[in-house]
Amino acid sequence: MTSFARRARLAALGTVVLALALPGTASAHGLVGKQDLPIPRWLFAWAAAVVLVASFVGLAVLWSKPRLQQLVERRRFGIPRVLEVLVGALGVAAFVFFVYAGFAGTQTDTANILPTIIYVYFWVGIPFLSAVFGDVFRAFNPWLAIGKATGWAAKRLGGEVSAEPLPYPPWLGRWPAVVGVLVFAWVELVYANRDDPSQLSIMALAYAATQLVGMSLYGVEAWSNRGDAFGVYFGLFARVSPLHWRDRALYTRPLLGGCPSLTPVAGTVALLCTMIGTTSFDGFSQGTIWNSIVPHLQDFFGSLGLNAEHALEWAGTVGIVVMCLFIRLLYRLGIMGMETVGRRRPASELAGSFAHTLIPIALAYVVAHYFSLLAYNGQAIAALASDPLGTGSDLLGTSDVAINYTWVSATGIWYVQVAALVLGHVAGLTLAHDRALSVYAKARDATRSQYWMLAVMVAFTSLGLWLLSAAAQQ
Amino acid sequence: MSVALIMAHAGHWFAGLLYLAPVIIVVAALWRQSYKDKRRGDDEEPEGESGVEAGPEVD
Repeated sequence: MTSFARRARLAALGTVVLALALPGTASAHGLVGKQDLPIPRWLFAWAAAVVLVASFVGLAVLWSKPRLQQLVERRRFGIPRVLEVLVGALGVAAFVFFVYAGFAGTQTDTANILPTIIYVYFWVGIPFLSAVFGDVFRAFNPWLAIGKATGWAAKRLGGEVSAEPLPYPPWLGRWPAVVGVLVFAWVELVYANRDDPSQLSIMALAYAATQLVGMSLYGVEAWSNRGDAFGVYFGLFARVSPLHWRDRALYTRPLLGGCPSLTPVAGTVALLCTMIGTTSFDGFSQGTIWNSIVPHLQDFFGSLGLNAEHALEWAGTVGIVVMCLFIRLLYRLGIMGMETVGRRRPASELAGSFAHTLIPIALAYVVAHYFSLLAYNGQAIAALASDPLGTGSDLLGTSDVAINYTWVSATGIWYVQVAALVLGHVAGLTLAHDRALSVYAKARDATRSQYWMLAVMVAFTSLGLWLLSAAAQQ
Repeated sequence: MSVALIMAHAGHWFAGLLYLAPVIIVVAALWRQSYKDKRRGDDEEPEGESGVEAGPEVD
């Protein structure tokens, strides 16, 4: 047996064992009501696998030349500089207001606007918007606006004296974004005081300060393109969109057209796996299996001298890291399979070349997992906007607007989740096929290399449906 | 602890297997097809012929 075959079998065995050890339930946010489905939920996973295999065959037969590798964009219209400045100023004002609300408002999380803004509108809403309208966050990004304004002011005041930024280290790549996304997910899913408005305000200020330091060291554009975790995170989703805002103009391109141009710098694969892994852990952590494992982990960390709260946080930390590594392992398996096809290419090269195929999958996981959160909890903004500090005011006359849980049924949400997962993985498969056609000299090798990506896509789809279906049983 | 934990969740194991089954079937089918392709000996790609590694950078 070759060393690859041994490694592949060991890795596959490990993955299967881990997958079997972790089955269970997970809860999507805000799921209300009972689903009324015509077939068992697990059959959806089988149907999704059939759709993926059919898509794979269809791509192999009908898609024989790369079509997405050369970016073709059409300029639609320009945007005046004054609008850019105004939108940036609006972003800064909103940031200042929400941070103020966190400090000055009530510390009851459901009555203060800050937790809902951060966890529902910022973390979940912007990815949805980005996928449709392009990188909207970049326009409103408050620390980017401050960085640009500071740079502009320094140039006007200092002239040629202002110091040149350091070159951004290639080894750093997107690693600051990996750390930022992981820390945010940790705060959201693990940290005991995750909903404390004043704590959230402190963290928002700390993050903004970090961004300003990063921009001052490496330059505004270099840092925001690589090191600003949220900018990079939302920017990745924006690559799916047919709209591209750049150079103060709007360009259009094919759907998914921005994904192939992703440069696989250091940390790119880790970032995408972290995005998928943290979303997966969000579901898994609310299931019965995790909740039956966590007391044992808590006992273990308690035996090391930690109090119950910190022991629980450490247990969650272990869980979130293991889930991200599990996703990384699945992707690695696909790459190891590809490595065996045609002229041997190093796995690191292939991993980077196909990293962009994970973007629609990460988006699919976000849509599938958080659609119900946005659909239900997102409505809370009507009341919170009228009384943002939770002090009893009614600025807009909507402070008593209640959440309507009936506008979309649990069954409807399930269909949205299944559709998102299937479409996201078909999109990933399409991107991978298109890239393979340009990486491999022979179309036959390109198709064969994608056997392994197909397996990875089917695994990701089944994992996603398994997590979601269990949620419905809660 | 681990044996008790595993046994306590046999039901979940079975439910999980229903979701894992399509993955196993697809992997097995692809593994077999890949093996057959290798046996046919059409695994060689001419040296020096390869395409792009990544598209143009547009950050």
